[in-house]
Amino acid sequence: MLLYSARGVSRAILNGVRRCQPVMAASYSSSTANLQPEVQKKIEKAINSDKVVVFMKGTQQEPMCGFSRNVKLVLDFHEVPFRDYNVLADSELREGIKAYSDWPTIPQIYVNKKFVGGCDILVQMHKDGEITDFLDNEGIKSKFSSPK
Amino acid sequence: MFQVSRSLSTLRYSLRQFCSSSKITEGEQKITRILKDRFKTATALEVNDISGGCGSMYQVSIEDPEFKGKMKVEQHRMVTEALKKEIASMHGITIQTKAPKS
Repeated sequence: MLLYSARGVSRAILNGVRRCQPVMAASYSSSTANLQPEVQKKIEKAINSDKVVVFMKGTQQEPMCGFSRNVKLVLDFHEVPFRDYNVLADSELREGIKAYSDWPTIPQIYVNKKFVGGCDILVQMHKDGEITDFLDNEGIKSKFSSPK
Repeated sequence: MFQVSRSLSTLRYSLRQFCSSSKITEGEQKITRILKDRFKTATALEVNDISGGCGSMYQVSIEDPEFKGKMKVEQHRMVTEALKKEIASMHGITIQTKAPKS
């Protein structure tokens, strides 16, 4: 909640009193100014089009970062198909997705339009054995889904 | 002479081997300071530079009663929010959070 109010404040600063608060505006501008409406639309289209979406460095065939690779490995292990978006090929998306999710790192995983987390969270869900239940609840079949 | 230089290079080698575990880097200190300031009730806090020398990848683990009842995403957000500025210039960070068992 606090996050959003802080954002609102920064937006107000950007819109209204830019000249009075140069330092504040500069320190917050990266998260708000980077999310242009067309980038936001692009992201929303992406997360609306597929059940499981991963914004990653590289592709699922060729991940370009260990964290992105781990996400792919966990999802592959659970036999969950996903749509990948390579942020290295799209710098607008790379910065935009950080602002959109209010999450500073990549990869980022979305399930049914909801932000799940990054690599650490997905790996932890896998280790803790929560991932199957989570996906079942989201209506997504995975390797260890209980047969209905 | 030859022996001295050889023993020196062995010493340097062994130093390098222990470097990552024993020497606390500037980046580690800074991040630890920020986190200690933010998570005052933390029961465990560990920061490791896992970049292998360049100082742009860190591993952070925090145990704090403040995390109790919060979702992982929220717990991690609390950490990344505190390290916002630092993370912007890093290549990567890996975070572990948990509430102490009561």
